[in-house]
Amino acid sequence: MKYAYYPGCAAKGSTPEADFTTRLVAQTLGIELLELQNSGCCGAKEIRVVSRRLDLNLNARILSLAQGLGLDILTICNTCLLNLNQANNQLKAEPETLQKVNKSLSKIGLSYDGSTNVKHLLHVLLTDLGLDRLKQSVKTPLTGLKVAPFYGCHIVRPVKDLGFDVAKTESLEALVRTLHAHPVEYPGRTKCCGFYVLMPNEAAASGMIAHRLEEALKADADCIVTPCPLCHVALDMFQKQALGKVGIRRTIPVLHLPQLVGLALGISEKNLQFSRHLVRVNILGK
Amino acid sequence: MRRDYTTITTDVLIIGAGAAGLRAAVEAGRKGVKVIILNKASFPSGSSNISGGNMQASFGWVAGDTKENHFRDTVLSSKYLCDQSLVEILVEEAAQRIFDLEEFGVLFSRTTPDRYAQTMGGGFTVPRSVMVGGRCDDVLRVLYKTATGYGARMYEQVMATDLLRNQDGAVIGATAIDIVTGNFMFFKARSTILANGPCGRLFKITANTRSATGDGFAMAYRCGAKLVNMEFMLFLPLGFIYPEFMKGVVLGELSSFGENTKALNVLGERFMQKYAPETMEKSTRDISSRASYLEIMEGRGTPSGGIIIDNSMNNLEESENGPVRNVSYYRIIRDCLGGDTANMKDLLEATPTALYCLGGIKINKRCETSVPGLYAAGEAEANLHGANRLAGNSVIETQVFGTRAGYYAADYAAGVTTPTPDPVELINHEYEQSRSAFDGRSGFKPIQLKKEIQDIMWNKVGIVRNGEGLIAAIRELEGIRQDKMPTLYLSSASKRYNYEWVEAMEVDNMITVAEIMSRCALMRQESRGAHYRSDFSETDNANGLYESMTLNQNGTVQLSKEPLNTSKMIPEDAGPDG
Amino acid sequence: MVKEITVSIFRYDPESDKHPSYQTYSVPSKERMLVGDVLEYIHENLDGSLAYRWECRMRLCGGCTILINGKPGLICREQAEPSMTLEPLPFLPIVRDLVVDRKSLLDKIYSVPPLTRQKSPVRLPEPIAHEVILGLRVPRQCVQCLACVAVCPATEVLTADLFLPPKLIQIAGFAIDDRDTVDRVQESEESNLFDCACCHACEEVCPHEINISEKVITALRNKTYEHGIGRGGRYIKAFYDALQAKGKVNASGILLRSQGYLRAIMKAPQGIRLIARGKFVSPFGKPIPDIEDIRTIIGPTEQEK
Repeated sequence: MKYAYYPGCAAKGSTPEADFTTRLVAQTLGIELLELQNSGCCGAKEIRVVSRRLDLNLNARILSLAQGLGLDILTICNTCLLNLNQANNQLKAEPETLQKVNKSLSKIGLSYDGSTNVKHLLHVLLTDLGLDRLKQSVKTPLTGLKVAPFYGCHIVRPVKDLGFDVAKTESLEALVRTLHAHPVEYPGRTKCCGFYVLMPNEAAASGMIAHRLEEALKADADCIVTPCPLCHVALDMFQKQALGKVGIRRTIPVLHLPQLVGLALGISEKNLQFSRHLVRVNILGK
Repeated sequence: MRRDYTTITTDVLIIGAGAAGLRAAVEAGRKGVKVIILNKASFPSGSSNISGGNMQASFGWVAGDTKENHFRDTVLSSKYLCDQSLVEILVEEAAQRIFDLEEFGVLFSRTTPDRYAQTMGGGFTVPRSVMVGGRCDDVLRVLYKTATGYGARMYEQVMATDLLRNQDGAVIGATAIDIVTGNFMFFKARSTILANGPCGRLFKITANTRSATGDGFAMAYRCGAKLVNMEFMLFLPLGFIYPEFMKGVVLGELSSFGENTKALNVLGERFMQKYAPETMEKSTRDISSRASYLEIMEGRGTPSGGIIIDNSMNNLEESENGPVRNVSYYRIIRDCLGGDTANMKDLLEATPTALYCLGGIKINKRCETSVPGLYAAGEAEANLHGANRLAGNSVIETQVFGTRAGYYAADYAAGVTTPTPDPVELINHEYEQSRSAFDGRSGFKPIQLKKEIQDIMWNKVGIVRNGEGLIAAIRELEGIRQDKMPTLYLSSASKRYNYEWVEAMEVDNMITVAEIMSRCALMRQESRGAHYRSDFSETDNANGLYESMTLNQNGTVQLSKEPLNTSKMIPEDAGPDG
Repeated sequence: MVKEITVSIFRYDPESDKHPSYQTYSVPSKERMLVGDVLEYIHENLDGSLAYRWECRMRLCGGCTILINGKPGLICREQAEPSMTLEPLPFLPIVRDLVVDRKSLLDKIYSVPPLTRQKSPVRLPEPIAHEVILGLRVPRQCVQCLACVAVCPATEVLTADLFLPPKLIQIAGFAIDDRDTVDRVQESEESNLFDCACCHACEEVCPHEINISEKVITALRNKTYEHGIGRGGRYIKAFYDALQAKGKVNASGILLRSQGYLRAIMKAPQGIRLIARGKFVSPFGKPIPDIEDIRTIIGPTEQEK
């Protein structure tokens, strides 16, 4: 299993621990990651407001860089996953659009032929590696740990753009069980963390963040796990201020997907870089 | 003692919030009068909402597209039974009404940027119907915004119960029930327009909405207005059979799916060969519906009670029910019957379904009924279509006659200067009557009686009728009114959104209209268009060219045969009075 | 296929009940049952007192939306499941049982001014290409069923007074119409267009499969961007500038640009904690090495309508 690794902006900036632990986990599981150097930003939800074409250009460049390596993309960010998929789908369905975009790419010596596939770390663990093999690699079963799976919108919707319905198939719950932890049932699992409202309206985002955290707290979870670093920024970086605004003093640690997996694989706390979080990760007693 | 009710005063009261009622509201509003619209359901609703929105009008862009041809096609389709003076108005004003809609904001399909696309229909000389993309709901929203822009106000979930008249016999408004709260209301108006036509719910299988129980016809009848041609009920050959909830919902004409549709019975025979060998699956609706119905009744229908449609030789992109021309429709078929059926790869089961009442409240060119102060528009009025209607002629009808009704009702309202005191006794009486269902303790639930009526009508007063069946129907309906209706009881004493209570009031209206329809059908001893009698299966132009008139004579149905307005076209074998 | 459907339904009459309750019914199962079939069966055979609304059966009246196992859906569209909980839509006053009063939301939605031309068309038909008509019809597919409202996180937090997806859909329908003269950009800003979280929950429940994120939100934001971004969209420009400058983005840089330096300084305590954890990437950092490539493909000449 070898992939072109596309970390996205957050992993390099606001959540370096996600990038670090992904590499460690991949190494431990025998997944080879070749980082797409200088791959830049996928455009998030902002670039398409300026022009859809810019969004397509940015993502087509990333796809063609992977094509150049002859590898599928593995990403660890939900928005990157959705954007790359949406661009990929559109370019494959509209030959005229692909032609136009390739004209832009040709100015920088690149070209895209529609052959790259895009997966999230979650997909790779689930289908390419398989949960059975993952289970065999578990060194520290997380027995007794109650985990609230927080999918994050862009790995779940729109289903037709993503091609795989992780929520319906309860993929994250299955993975949590594979690590011997217990996935709690709670209403927030596929709801929105509010990350994209942080810039335009922090108060509103704060409200959404508070709701998501409250839902997990009510379900008596020990921690939250999420496959998306943007959700992590919202739920961890802004947790204290969001819960503070609604008068809640309790906190709940938020783990990145690779951190939870890494914990079960026996990777040390130090190497899981929990110290980078703003909310203390105090689950190790459980 | 005055019962507890609210009086709301207006100039023009419009009962019914479909395309006709809303267009009337626009026109009346434009004239500066106060307009109130009553909607029994939530907005948007009604038959126009689910009609698909095709509207006939002649623009002269295509050779042969003349007002004369539109007139001719309509009269021929009506089997010479329409009021030709109304048809003259329809074909004359149709194009301008389309332009009005465009000006209000409706989006019509085009061929070139400055020409509307026009589509063909059964019985058309040339393609003539403009299109709004297969859905008419946007037209209603545009009309609503336009009407409210002129000050009109809509009351939703308010069911009009009866029209009240003053001592001079003029209509001065209507009593109504607010379905949400159960409160009784009196809408006092200087003029009133009935635009709540459809009565499809009289039949077991119908395309119509939940509310289509013929309230308008019943109210008009009770108030003394003349009804005309009530025996003529239009059926469509293809409605959904399942799921049960969807039974009767329009699947379309036999030609909706494409040029190469094959209609088969359970034995796999193309049965149209027996009924209309020259036109086959391209026959008009009355012929196709009858053929399907007879196949089913004679035991050659599917186990679910339908006929089979084979669309495999049709082109999906061109299908009027396909993802290109009507994606909303396509999705309904896909969700309910599966992708293979929607993509025309699998067979489709369908049943004939009750669609539209060709008769109605008699109007003149100003949409005036026979009762002063009362107007009618849309499906509620007649007699535009005679014995059979062309596709696309009913939505344009709402615009042409809705406009006229609004215009003339506003004029009339402006002329009513004496203030009207509340007719308290009448209102009290209506109040008591409307609440009588709450007194019942045991007997029948309204839904049971509704279903009984629907069975009687489907089996005996439906697509194929005969004297014996009609007499039995009249007797059975009478029995329901005399013996069963008085024992109606409700499961809940709450007046809040009590749909059983609504149904109890609907049952009363349904029996009235059902009886009228049955009696008119019995009187017409011939077959013409949508009215078919197995005991009188030929068209009789010597004796049949009349409008059947219904009048309320002290509580009994009085029928008569009235001469037709045949201003321009007369059939060759017409009798001396034709 | 199971023999019976078990359905638990929300019951509440505000005039006579202190609190809501749930009542369970068993309905014989048939192939191809819609939720509407289940309710009609109950009405006819089990309990005539249950209040529920439907009208057209063709997804055009928008009046039959309820929550089915927590997810909003039309009873004329959704298949019945062997075990179901049926509840009324949230955020609205309950009339009785499953029937809600939509008036307050519909009034807001219909308050959006319709197509308003500068003057009456010179001639009719108005010259409009058919492809344009098809595009204009897209937002008008909305029947105000309010399913999107039920799942919108922005509505949940801000309330429908401040954020209402179907209202934005109405605005979009006219914003994309060249004949219209109303300031739809202003309307969008007043309707808090940029508070949309881009979570796609709305389009997943839309019975008419309207691509709300692209055809409504992004389309309106495009227009706003063209006209000069207001309060809500300043961060878009900051994002674009950051990409052109650095090739990647980080929250701190955008924060500085979009909210102004004063507000950023007020967040200093947070900033210090982030620095300590290696999460504060300086807005004055270096661009990625291939920045010229990025600038080439997202420069102003690449923008197209």
